[in-house]
Amino acid sequence: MNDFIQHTINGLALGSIYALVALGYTMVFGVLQLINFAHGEIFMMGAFSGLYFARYALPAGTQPSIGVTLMVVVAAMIGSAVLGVIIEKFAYRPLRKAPRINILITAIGVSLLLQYGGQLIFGASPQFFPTILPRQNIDLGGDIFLDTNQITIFLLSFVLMVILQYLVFKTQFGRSMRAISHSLETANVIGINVNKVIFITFIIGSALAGAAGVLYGVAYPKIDPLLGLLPGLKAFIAAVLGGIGNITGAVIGAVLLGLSETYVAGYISSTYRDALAFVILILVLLLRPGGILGSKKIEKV
Amino acid sequence: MAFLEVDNMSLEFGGVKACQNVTLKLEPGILYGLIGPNGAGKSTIFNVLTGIYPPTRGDVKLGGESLVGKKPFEIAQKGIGRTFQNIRLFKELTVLENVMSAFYSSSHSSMLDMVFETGKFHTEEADVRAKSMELLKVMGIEDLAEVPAGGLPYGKQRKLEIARALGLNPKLLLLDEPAAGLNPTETRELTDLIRKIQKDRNITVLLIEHDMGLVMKICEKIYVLVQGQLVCEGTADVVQNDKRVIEAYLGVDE
Amino acid sequence: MKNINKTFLIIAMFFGLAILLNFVMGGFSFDVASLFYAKPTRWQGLISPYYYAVLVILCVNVVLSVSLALLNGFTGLFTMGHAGFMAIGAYTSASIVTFMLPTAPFFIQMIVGSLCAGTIAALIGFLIGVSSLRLNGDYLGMVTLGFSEIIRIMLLNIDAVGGARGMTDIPQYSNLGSVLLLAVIVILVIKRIRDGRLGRAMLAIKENEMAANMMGINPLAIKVKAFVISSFIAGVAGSFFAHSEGYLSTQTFTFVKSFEVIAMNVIGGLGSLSGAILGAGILTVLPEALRKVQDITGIDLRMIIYALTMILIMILRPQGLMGNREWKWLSSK
Repeated sequence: MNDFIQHTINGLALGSIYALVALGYTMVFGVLQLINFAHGEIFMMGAFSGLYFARYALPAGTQPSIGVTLMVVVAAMIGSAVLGVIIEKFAYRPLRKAPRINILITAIGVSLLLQYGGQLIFGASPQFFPTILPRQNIDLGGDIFLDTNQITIFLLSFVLMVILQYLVFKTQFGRSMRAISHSLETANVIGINVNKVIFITFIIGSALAGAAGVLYGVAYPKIDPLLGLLPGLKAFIAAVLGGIGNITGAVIGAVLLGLSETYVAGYISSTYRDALAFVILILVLLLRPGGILGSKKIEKV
Repeated sequence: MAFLEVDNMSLEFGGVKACQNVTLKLEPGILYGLIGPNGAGKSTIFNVLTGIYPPTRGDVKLGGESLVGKKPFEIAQKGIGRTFQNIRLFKELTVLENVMSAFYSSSHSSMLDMVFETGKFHTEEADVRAKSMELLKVMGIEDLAEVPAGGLPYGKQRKLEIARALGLNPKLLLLDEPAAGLNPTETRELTDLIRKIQKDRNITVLLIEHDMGLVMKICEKIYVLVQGQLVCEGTADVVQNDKRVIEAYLGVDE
Repeated sequence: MKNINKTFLIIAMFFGLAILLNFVMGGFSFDVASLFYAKPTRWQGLISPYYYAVLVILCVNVVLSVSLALLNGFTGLFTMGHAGFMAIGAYTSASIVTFMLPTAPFFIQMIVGSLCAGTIAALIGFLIGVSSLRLNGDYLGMVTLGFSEIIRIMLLNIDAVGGARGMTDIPQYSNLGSVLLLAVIVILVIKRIRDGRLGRAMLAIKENEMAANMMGINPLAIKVKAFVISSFIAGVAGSFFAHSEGYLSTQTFTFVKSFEVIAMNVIGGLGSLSGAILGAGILTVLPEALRKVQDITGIDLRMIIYALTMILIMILRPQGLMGNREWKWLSSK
């Protein structure tokens, strides 16, 4: 039982990171109907932006603290947002009217470009993510531990998701974004500046991925330029599981995926952990292509 | 017993009644018309006949055999060919290939025949090609055989659709607004063609058309559909003088 | 037909020349068999080991690209799992030859290995196809991606084929002669399928599935057929790949490999057989040619330029290099 609680805590932490990445997938899919395969690399670049910010921008001898962590997260969010916007403007925007497969190939190209560009700039070998958070294990009794990393992950992703909910459901931008995902033509007709909305969508989605990158670096402090590949794909699967295009769905899907991965790794075998995500993907698509929240008409983005 | 029987057929979409108790009895070798105001459910009847929508109630029989529950391609293989109101050609295939594609189910060369280009493959391919050219000649577009279908002018696309449907060697041909978008000369030409094809091949034709001149001129029997229900059937004279038909069309653009 | 014969003629001349050189360089001893299987020593007398290796991979990639074109380009099915079928073929063939036919003559190994590889891949392709071809568009792509990754992870967990360490000591009987022959045969097979009634049905479904239905074509049956043929060929390609490398790692068959094959199709021009070949050529040769750049700059810009090329072609020439056109010898006229 204690094992189970420990796995649940770990799974929730992993799921929260997936959720932040999955949100970007689902939002971009909502407005562009595009599986943004480069999103995993935006997440990777977030981790590296955080790493370099912590290493070079902070004065030497800075002690790990919550404040430092927040600064690093914000820096990574800015770094990723800038990157996301550049990708949107130079790679995706010229292809707005092209067949979807072209945009998909371009996304794959961008993803490769960032992986190999990352290897060129950061080096191919893994680097250690600096300790930016005072690390402490809190014993909850009975060998169950909750560490400060996990608390930060929970709190930060919760706050970011609340902000996102506000942006999507309470602002003009959010209304426009939902209108576009409902129907691009209609949105055009009623005078929504589609390019601007897509632009902002990329900023938000990428910033969330950037924050996730730092949280990932904090939790698994060995990072390399290929680290975005698998988490990126899994976050995408989480988005499909929840119902792609659906914001709440992405979070639910991500948490479910994080939990089930941790359980499989804990109780069965860690080698099958990666297969699980793909089994889920297939089952969802064959049995319920709309995802968990797909059939009900909840806020589709 | 009629050749094609639609027996008390109704079709509903989530409570919306698209067709109600429609009964048609088509005899072999006759040219029928199906008219009615926009949104009366004419194309919907075609979609039921070709298996795209299964009827909610009632039955559709071809030569005594029920078509309900059959897949669209099975129904096509049984000899119902059709054209579409909004043309659906294989745009990147050539005109000739469009017609040849309709011979898929009636030809038999296997994959190995194709890969080894056996004698059977060559004979069959030449045969299909000749038959398709023949159909293009009937429609008067044989000189465009090697042009991609998407590049044809509108009127010729309509003709190609008919040629393609004839490639199935259908017993029943459903034409969905064949003259839509054509100018008067083209319409006259097409009218004559349809009648000629129907007589020469002795097939049954059911055509939907808004051009009343065309319908009255060539259809031997006309069904009038209003709001999913048949209100009148008979020859041109009968239909033109029917009170319900006049009412239905009064104030409508025709 | 005439053009095809011309192609055969060129290929025959090529092999004739190779046999002649082989004869001369082998000290005037005939060993024609070594042109098609067994250690590539005689080939390596003709070209450097490096070009030899690039040419082998080129041929394998052409086979993969052309077989995917049948799905992607002709039938309009977007799949992202081609690497999975290649993996099945590679591991099936390597296992059968290593464990069951270790002492059989190369010729027997090659025939049995590649046929089993193709058959098993086709069988799995059939099962995947039947279960997932109701879906279309991106959804089909995602499902096939999922299947392909599951196949890979399962292979990774089979200890008999080396697991994470990879499978080593696979008999290396296939060489440039055999993969080249394979590539030519596959191109011709796909071309002929495209030009026959099956190909017309596939193109019809891609263009307008509803209209194809109304022409008496069963779309699901045709799609499954395309899927089975394509996975069979990918499996055979995997087999030849395994027996020319002599080593297999599941890392070769990740979704990145599937994307690479899709990129070959799209860059060459979706729907064009010539394009599929051209795309395979470009994406194989480009990274190699760019090694020279690395020699000059001192840093590895290879993959970066490769990725940039992909992006630029998509933006500047969305229909691909060939568009819908074909080279004369591959056109249907």
